[in-house]
Amino acid sequence: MSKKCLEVKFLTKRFGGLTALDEISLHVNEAEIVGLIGPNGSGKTTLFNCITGFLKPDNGKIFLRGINITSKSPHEIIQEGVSRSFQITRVFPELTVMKNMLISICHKNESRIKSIYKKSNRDEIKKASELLEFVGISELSDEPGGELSYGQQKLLTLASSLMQDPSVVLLDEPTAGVNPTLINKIMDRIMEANEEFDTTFFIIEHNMDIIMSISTRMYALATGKIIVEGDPGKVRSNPKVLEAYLGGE
Amino acid sequence: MKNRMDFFKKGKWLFLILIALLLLPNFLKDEPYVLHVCIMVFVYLSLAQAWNLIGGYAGQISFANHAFFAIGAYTSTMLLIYLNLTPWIGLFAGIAIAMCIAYLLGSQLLHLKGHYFAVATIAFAEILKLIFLNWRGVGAAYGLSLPLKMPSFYYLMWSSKLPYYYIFLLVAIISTILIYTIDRSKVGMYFMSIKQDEDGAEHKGIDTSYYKLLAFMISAGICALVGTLYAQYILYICPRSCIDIMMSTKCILIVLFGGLGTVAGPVLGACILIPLGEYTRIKLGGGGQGWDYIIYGLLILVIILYQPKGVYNILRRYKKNVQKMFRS
Amino acid sequence: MDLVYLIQAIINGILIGGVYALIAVGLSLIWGVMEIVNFAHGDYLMAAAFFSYIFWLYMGLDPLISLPLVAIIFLFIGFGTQKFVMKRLMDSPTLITIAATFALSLLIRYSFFVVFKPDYKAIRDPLLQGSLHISSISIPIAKMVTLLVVLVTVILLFSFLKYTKKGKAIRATAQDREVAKSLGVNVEQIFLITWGLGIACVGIAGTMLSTFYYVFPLMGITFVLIAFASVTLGGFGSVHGAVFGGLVIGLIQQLGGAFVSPALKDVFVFIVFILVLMFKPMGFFGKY
Repeated sequence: MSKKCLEVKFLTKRFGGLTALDEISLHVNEAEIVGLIGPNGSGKTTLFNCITGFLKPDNGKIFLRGINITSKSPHEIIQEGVSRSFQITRVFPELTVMKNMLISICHKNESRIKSIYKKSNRDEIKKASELLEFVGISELSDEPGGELSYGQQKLLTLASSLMQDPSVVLLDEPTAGVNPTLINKIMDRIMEANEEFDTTFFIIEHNMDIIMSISTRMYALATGKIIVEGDPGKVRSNPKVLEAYLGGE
Repeated sequence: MKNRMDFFKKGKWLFLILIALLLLPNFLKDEPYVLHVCIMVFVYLSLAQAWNLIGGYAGQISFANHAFFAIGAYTSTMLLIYLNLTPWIGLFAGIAIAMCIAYLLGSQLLHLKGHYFAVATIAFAEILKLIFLNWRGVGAAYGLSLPLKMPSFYYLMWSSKLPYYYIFLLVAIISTILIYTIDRSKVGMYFMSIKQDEDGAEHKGIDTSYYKLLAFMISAGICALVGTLYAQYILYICPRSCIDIMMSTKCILIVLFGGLGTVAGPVLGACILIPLGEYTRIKLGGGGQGWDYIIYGLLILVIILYQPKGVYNILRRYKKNVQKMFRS
Repeated sequence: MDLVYLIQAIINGILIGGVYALIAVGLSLIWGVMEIVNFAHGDYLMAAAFFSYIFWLYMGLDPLISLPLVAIIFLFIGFGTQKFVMKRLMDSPTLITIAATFALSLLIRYSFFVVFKPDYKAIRDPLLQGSLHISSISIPIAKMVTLLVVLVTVILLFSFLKYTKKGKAIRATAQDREVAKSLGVNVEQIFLITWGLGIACVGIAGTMLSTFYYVFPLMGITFVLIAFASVTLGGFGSVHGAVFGGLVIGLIQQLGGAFVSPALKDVFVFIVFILVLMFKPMGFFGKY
C-alpha cells in the first residue's frame, strides 16, 4: 500500500458567489506521477494556489506526508517540501541561471544569521550543476535568467524545482507553448526524475496525449468538482470528461 | 583562484585609493570647506548605502531614512545632554532604538507594495517631524545644542574637522563593506529575488516578510549611526534640518544615479552628486539651496530616461567595450 | 462644548476639504488610469497659484478672471508632461516612475524657489474679499466661492467621465488597459487626456487657493501629502472616493486643529493616513 505524499480533503474555495473548488478530495502517493486535467476555469490552478498557501481555502484540509499544511504561510509550505512551477514561466530575470538554482535550495533549517555573510557552499553549487546538466542547460549557467528562451526557462524551472529534494513537485502546464522536441525532452526528464530520484509529481496538463503517457493515475476536474479518477485509459474514455471539455468554456 | 586574482587586482587600486584618502586631509588643512564637502560625501555615501540595501537590493522604496537618521541624532544627543553619556555608547542606543522602531514600522507597513509603501514611509517621517516640532522634551522647533566639550575623544567632539573626516571615512568604509558582504552572500541573493519577483521568491520558500524587515532594520541602523555622528559634528540639531525629506530624496537619487543594487553605485553617486551640489550652490549663489536641486532633478530625469541602470553600468559597459576592442 | 466653535470647525473643514478634494481628484485620475503616483502634484498646484499671482501682479487680472486661462494652460502642461516625460516610462518599474515625478517636483519647485525666493506672497485686494457672518460663524467669501468652483468643476468632470465617449474610454482604460486596447481605445491619447485633466484640476485648485492662501514655492509639500491621504482614504481608482477623502481629511484636519492643537492638525491627517494604509488599504470606495 503506497504512502500518501499529498492529500487534499474536502477542499472548498469560494470567490464571492463563485465556488471555484467544491469539496475536492484527492491524493498523490509517493513516487507517483499524477495528472490533473480539466477545461479552463475548472479550478486546477486555484487548487495549486491553495496547496501552496497562496490562497486560503474556505474549508477542508491539506496534508503533506501527514503534516497539516492548510493554514501555513506559503514559504513554510514550500520549505516543507512542495515545489511549484507556473503556467507562464517564472525565473528571476536578473539572477544568473546558477543563482536561480541556488536560491531554490531548501531553506527550512537555514541559519538566518550566517546567511548574511555566507555564500552558497560547494555542495549546493555541485548539486545545482548536476541538475542543470540533468536537464541539459549547463552551458547557460552564467546567463541572466531573463535572457533564456521560453523553452530554456521551462527546463530551468524543472531543474530548480528538484533542487530542494522536494516531497512533491506541482507542475502547472509544463509543456504549454513549447515546441514538440522540447516537449519530449521535458517529459523525458520528468519520467527520469521520477524513476531515478523517486520524485513525486502532480501535473496540470492540457495536452491529453502527453499527460496520459506519463501519469500513473489521473484526476479530471470540472467546475470545481472531481468528475473522474483513475488510470489514464479509464479517465480518457469516460464520457463525463468529454462532456466537460466540449460542453464547458 | 580566479576570485583571488581579481581581488588582488582590485585590491591594489582600493588600497591606493585608501592611502590617498587617508593622506588627503594633510593637503587640505587650510581648506575647511573642502574638508566639509568630503565629510558630506562620506555621510551621504553611508546613508546611500543604507538606502541601497532596502531599495536597491530588497526593492522596497523607503522614504524613511532621514527619520532614522534623526532618531539616531536625537537619541545620542539627549543622552549626552541629560545623562552626560558619552556618544560612543549613545550611538549604540540610537542604533538600537532606530532598529526597534524600524521593526515596529516595518512589520505593519512592509506588506504594502510599491507606491503605497513609499507614501506610508513619507507619512511616518512627517508624523515624526511634527511630533518633534511640538515636543518640548526634545527642544521642539528650537532644537538641541550639544554641550561643547572639545577637544575630547570621550565626548566625540573636536574643534578641527580632521578627526571627523576620519570618523566619517571609517563609517563610509564600514557601510560599503557591509553592502559588499551582503551583495555576495545568500541574503543578498534573497533580497534581489524579492525585488525581482516577490511572490516568486515566496514560492522558493523564502520568508519574504522576514527578509524585507531585516533589510529595513539594518538600513535604519546605519542611518542612526550616521545621525549620531553627524550631531556630534554639527553640534546643533533641530527638526527642520534633521528631519528633512530632501535627505532621503538625495540618497535615492545618489543610488539611482550611481547604480541601483550595486556596491560601487552609491560610491560613484555620492562622489559625483554631493560635490556637484555644493559647487552649484556656491557658484550659482543667491538662490541658496535651489540650484543644486534643479541640477539633481535634471540629472535624474536624464539618467532614468537614457540609462536607468546608473553610471556604474555605463562604466562597466564602457570597460567591456574597451576590452573587446583590445582583444580584437 | 461650544456648539458654535464646533460648527465653525466643521464649516472650515468642508471649505478647505473642497480644495483638497479637487487636488485629490486630479491625483486619483492619474493614479487610477496610469498607476503613476504624481509626487509633483503639489508643485503643479504651487505653480498654478504662482501663475495666478503673476497674472495679478503684472497684468492686474483677478484670479477669478484668470481662472479659465490658468486652467487651459495647465491642461496643456499636463499634456506636455505625459508627452515629453512620462510616456517613455510607462512600463518602467515603480522606483523609476516615482523618481521621475520626484525629479519633476524638484525641477518645478526649485525653479520657482530660485526665481521667487522662499518669501510668502499674497494677492492683495482680490475681488473675493470679506466674509459672510451668520451669528458668530464667519465664512470667508473667497473660500465659499472656491467651494462653488470646486463643485462645478467636479460635477463637470464626473459628467464628462460618465456620459461622454472619451470619458467612458478613460474609465475603461483605468479598469483594464489591455481590454480597453482590444476594444479599440487609443490608449496613448487617453493617457494624454488624463494627465491634462489631472493637472487642469490642480490648475483650478491652485488659482482659487491664491485668493485666500499664501503663495510660496514650498507650499506644494504639505498639499501633496494631504492629497495622498485623501486619495488613500477614498480608495484608489475611485474619483468619487477622492472627493469623499478630500472632504473627510479637511474635516479631520480642522476638527483636530480646533479641539486638540492647531500645531498638530496635520499629525491627525497623517495618522489617519497610516491607519487606513494598515487596515483598509482599499480605502472606502477603492477598486483594488
